[in-house]
Amino acid sequence: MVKTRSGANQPKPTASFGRWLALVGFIALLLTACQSYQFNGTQYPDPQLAPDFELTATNGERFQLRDQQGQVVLMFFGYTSCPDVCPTTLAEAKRVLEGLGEDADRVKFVFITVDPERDTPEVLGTYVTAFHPAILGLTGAPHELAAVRQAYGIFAENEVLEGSATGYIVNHTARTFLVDPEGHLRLSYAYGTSPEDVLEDIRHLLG
Amino acid sequence: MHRSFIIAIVFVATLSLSACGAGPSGPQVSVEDAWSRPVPAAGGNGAVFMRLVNGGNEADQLVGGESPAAGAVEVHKTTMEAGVMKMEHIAGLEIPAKGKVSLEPGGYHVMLIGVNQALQPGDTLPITLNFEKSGEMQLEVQVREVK
Repeated sequence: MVKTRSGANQPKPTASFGRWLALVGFIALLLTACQSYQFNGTQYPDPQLAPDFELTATNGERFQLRDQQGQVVLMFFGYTSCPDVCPTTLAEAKRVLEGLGEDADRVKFVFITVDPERDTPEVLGTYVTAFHPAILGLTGAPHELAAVRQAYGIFAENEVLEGSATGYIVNHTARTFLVDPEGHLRLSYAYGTSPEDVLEDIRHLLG
Repeated sequence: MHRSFIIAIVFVATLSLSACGAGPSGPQVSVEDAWSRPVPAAGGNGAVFMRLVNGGNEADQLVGGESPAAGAVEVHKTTMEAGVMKMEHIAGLEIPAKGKVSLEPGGYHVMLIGVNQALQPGDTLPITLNFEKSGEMQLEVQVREVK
């Protein structure tokens, strides 16, 4: 309450109300700034360095995970004789790589075969590059591949389908894994996650 | 006059009711929106998706197929169990009477085993589907990119 020149008491709500509003607004701003980014993928609660491995890439080079620091690496385990889930995942990888534009050279997508018998480097290379030239196929000796699967908790098993011309199919875990630029295993994505969700997470990690 | 009028009405009613009967009996299967996924190289496997609609009053089953474009054609189902992808060879895919079945990515598909050449978006692929009751149905399927 202040006394005006005429002496009458007049409430002065405007100034103090305005101040409260500013304070509340400021606190709200602080709160939104403190809210951390919500990842779309499933987070690893205590991210560790992703298990290192070295496999043969279809571009003829050896691929060592540890050497990819500075890049975001997306990993999927599959096989080329797979008619449905693997092509869908690679088509989504293509959308992610295309959506990244220039940032695509800071991201590696690797397709690790669970069927080294049929997926020779040539077959694997033709397959992955048909989706996008930047997708790398990785293969190796069966024991090398088994070790990587074990490190990442990947299930893969050949199954003969009776009465089918397919010979055998490979039942396998269909999650995509994300290693951040510091080399930590950060996130995984279920089969069918939208490319937009993956893109958002990658953009956040690339900073 | 009155009685013949009643008879006439009963006659017309009976005729109308019999016309409202079940119609032709048996399945009536049609294929809608069939499309094939691209296959990067000869020897690879592909998948054809579609909607099978049965307007008839009897169920039918898709039991297989052939195509000059592939070594073998079979019906398969993709299943996901706790994140693990599996596939089952389906001997007969039922299309219920007055019903439909959707073959789409992640579920049922007509699998092309060992394509003779790469399939690119825009190609057409001839395929014959075999139904248990409806017999053979020939299609020209468009190859297109996954949306």
